[in-house]
Amino acid sequence: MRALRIYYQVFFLSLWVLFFWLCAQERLRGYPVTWFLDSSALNALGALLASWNVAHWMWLGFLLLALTALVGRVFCGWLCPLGTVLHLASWLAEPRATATRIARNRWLPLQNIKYLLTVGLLAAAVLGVLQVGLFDPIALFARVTTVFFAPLATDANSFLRAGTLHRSFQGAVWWAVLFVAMLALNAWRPRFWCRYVCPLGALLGFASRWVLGAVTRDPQRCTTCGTCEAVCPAACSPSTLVKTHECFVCWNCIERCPERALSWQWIYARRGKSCAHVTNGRQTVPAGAVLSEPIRPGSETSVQQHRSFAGGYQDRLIPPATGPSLPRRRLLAAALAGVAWAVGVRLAGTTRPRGFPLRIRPPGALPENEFLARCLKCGLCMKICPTNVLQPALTEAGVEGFLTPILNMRIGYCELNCTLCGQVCPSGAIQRLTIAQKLGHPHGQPIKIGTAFFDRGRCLPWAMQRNCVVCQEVCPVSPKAIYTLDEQIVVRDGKRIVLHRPYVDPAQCIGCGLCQRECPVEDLPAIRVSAVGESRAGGSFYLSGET
Amino acid sequence: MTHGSENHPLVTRRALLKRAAGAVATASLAGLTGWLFHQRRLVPASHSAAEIPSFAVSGTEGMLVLVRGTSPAAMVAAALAELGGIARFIKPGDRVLIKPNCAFDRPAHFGATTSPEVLAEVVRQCRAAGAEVRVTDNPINNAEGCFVKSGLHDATKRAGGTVWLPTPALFGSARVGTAVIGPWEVLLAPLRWATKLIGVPTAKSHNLSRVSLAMKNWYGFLGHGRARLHQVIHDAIADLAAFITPTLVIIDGTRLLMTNGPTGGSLADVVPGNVIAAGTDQVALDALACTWLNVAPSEVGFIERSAQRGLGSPDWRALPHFKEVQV
Repeated sequence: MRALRIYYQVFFLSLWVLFFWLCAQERLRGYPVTWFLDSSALNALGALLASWNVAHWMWLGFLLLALTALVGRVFCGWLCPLGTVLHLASWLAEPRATATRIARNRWLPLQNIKYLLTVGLLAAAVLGVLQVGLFDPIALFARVTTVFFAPLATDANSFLRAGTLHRSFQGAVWWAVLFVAMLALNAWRPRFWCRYVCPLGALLGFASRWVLGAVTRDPQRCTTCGTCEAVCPAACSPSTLVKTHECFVCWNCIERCPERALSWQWIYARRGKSCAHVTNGRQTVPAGAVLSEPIRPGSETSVQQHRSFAGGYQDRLIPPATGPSLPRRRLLAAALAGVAWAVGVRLAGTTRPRGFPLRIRPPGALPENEFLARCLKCGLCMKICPTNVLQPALTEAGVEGFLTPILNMRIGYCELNCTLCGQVCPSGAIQRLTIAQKLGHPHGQPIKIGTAFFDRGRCLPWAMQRNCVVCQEVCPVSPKAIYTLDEQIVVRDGKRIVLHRPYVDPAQCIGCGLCQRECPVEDLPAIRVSAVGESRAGGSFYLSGET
Repeated sequence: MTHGSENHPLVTRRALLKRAAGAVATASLAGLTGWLFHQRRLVPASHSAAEIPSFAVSGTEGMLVLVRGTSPAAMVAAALAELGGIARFIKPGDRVLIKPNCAFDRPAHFGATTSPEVLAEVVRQCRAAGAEVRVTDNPINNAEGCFVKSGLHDATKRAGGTVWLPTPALFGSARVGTAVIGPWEVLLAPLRWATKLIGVPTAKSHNLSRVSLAMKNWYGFLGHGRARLHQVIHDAIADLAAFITPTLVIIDGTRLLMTNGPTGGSLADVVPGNVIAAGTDQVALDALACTWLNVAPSEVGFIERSAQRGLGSPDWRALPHFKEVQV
């Protein structure tokens, strides 16, 4: 089974790579490249609580939750692509000495942090502030893949030769730093992220409280050699009563146990004489007997009711259905912290139109509050965007909008006949538009994502008395949003010349940014797009009609 | 009695049933939730625009009365008497929404807001007619400050009405206008609450629309983004007049802001007007009140456009019910 598990891990990691390879303009043909993101129960539940909607394939997350409720966190051990990478890193960094390995795999109260993180994230989501994507392992790995691994894989050659990459992403280096740190921490504790941080693992831990099958131990066979602990990546204490909310069901302990004392068993009732066992993790004795070490509350101690049989047969130890042992007060504090976070980020006014000129959202993006209640910050839209214009927001959209997609017209522009970002958005934050819907054909208005404004102090015909109007030439809409008027002016030597001076017609401009991208005043273009007038905010600042 | 084997973990039946119930409940809850909410709100519901009802009382069309005098309360009383008494418009149990011009955070003597004396008398009359009265406006400045400093807050309370300050929850999308406005955020909750609507604007000059009178006063019902309507102000005002049909309008001309409108700010901009006009024809009322401000109705775009759209008659002298009174 352990070998099977490794095959599964390799398969799903390969599927991950395949999906990202397919998530490109020239290859995407309706492939379900979002499946991993959909399967994250944290994304699905968070988006549901924030928006009361389960979009597209995101019901897969609830399927995973259901599966986990029955058989435990198999996702973490068998499916999670990030888990697989971290598993591999942990394996590579594994020390030789068994004693060291046992020490590193001991359960620590620190592992409870992830449960508190989950509670906080979901509490914020209830208030419409969806921040699960910051910590969701799938969204995080998708982001790192998009901004770091994919550009590197595509352009490794040119990078090695000339140090240049074809794509660019703002803030990408920090994702590389974070990812390296995540890998390095496995040397201290195997699968560090999964044990201590991962809020998806924690959600699945909550769901696996009543699992109907688990790793069980036969104390008659067990010699407490510690081999299971040495090979356990999850720090779930297989040598005592396995903590089902931590167990990845990875089969390491079962297959490495020299005494065959461990096995995965469905849990079902058998008749017999009742007998309670008390265990503190080092020893197991019938109830009433005295443990040589005291029972400490919240530690590895637990009491399990069993039936025993005539003849003194000692049963297997079945993990109790208790779930993570967290004081209710601590859970409440975590929820309150989530609420405080939600209130705090909303105080920045992120759902209001004022103050965010560079928060230019992709075409089909929902109104900001609806958008923020759905966006998982996964970056798939940025992966597929053919012009690279979609970028993870740093400060452009406020703290709440950190890492949500915005258009940076210095890097790219919004292609007129393209709606790919909406096609791969797993949560419907960006709607699936047809080209006709985007362009407003045959009737209706095109989707407008912003409006272009001239900076006359930098524009050549306005400031430098030179003809230029590249912006008018490239303007892709018809009729063109940029038009020129011929104006006669006097130049430095006193001659009169006629210039084509450009103007923007806000009624035609859709904010695509091609003018800004192509403007010859390259570093700070003389025509720039800001978000004002975007369709999703309902109505333009500009009204047609007699003034 | 069956003996257990080493391969089978053993628990009591009760513990197993509990455990199975927990597992199955969690699994089904997850499945059911995913299924129930799937694509439930993929596209957010498009905001359906509400219709603003007409607040006019039938049989009172085309009425106009001009009252000259020096006591605002007596002038309002005389105007209402000339129109057939308040009982003709307001019935016991009516919910009356009054819209003064409370756009700025200024004392009333600067002429930028409706006189408290005029508003108080209107509120008092409605209360006497057995109606509940609420006064609202969505000002440019902080609403609370506007109501307090203009004196309209005290005037309303003393006369037995309630000030209804605009909060985000009171706004909703309504169909106002066809020419330029279309669906717009308006103070929908008050307009839905009301059974009668009385406009009590003040007469003043306006930098862009020339004058601000009965029709321009409805700007104060509009919510977010109204600043952009200034691009097409005359059509916007005509749109508003077409979709807001009040029970009655009383234009306060006791003070006239002759210049530097609509904000004013200097007593030099204000002259005593000693006049009010009341009636049901907004176009006629505005045409009449223009003359107080030394503006010809033909110079005012929105009066002309409202007349073209059949919203009233700019030829106020020709109205069959026109009366002029001195008190």
